[in-house]
Amino acid sequence: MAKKGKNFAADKVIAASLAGAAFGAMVIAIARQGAEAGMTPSAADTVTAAPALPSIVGSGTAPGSTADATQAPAAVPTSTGQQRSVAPTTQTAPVPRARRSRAS
Amino acid sequence: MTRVVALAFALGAAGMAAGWLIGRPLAEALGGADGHEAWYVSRAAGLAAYLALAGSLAVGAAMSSAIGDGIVSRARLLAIHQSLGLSGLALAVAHVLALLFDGYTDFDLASVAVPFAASYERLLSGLGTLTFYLFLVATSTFWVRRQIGMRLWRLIHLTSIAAFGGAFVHGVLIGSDTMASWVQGVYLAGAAAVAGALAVRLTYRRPRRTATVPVRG
Repeated sequence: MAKKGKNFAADKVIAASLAGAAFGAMVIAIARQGAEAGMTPSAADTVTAAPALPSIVGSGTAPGSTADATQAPAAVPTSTGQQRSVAPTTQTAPVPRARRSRAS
Repeated sequence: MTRVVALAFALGAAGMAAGWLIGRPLAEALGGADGHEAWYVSRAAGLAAYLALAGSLAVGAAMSSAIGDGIVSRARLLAIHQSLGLSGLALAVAHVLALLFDGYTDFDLASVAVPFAASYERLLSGLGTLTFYLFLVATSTFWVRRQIGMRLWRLIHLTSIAAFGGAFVHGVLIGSDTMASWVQGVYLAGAAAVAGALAVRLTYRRPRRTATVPVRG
């Protein structure tokens, strides 16, 4: 405990102010970084639209045939953000933001 | 103590009012008003809390090692130690509360208050919650140390070192900015300050005072 009659109020205020200033500086730095580097979740969630694939249903082509092999695979989510955008209402567990941000 | 709590509440209320009034325009000016302001505030508060708690630990270890005797009084170091600790706790509360307003991670009160109850990064989120409680207990028991006994209080106070380790792991692994060099600098600076102060605390031996015995002539 501080000495009687001397509670170092100024030192306490300075220390708390430094912590507050660190917080303010970090809000600004993180917001700037998010805006400049596209590290926002919305930017990471941008989905590159897969080209529409011709339907092979009813075409008579047997699975595994040459025609089948030349076709591009069905749209596979390439990022967690894409997965999220496909079915936002059905996903229960959120995708880790950290990985999306780092990827961007 | 009552004055400190009242001041903390007043500062918190003032901060919320200021945030309400100028937060959005400020974020727009910075180019970051994209609906993720709560996430930004939470990350910034978490990092600032980490730094404040690291400072508190470092000052506390330096104070108890008595290495600064003769340069700065221990009472002054104690005041700084307490102020940084309380500021770190306040920022940790802000870090948690801001998460409640983030629409993406879906944290609710139960998932931030109960360790390992969150669906988002369950283990690391739970570690953060545990860390917060450890710091809360280690800080608040200072005012009841006479009632609980100095030995138990000292033991509880030592858990803050483990709590700092938990905060470090929580921040590094769950933080979405860990790859940014300046954030790595923040983590390293905090860890180095605490490690250095603990090393001093464990190794420094204060010089013995030589008693001057009056010689009878």
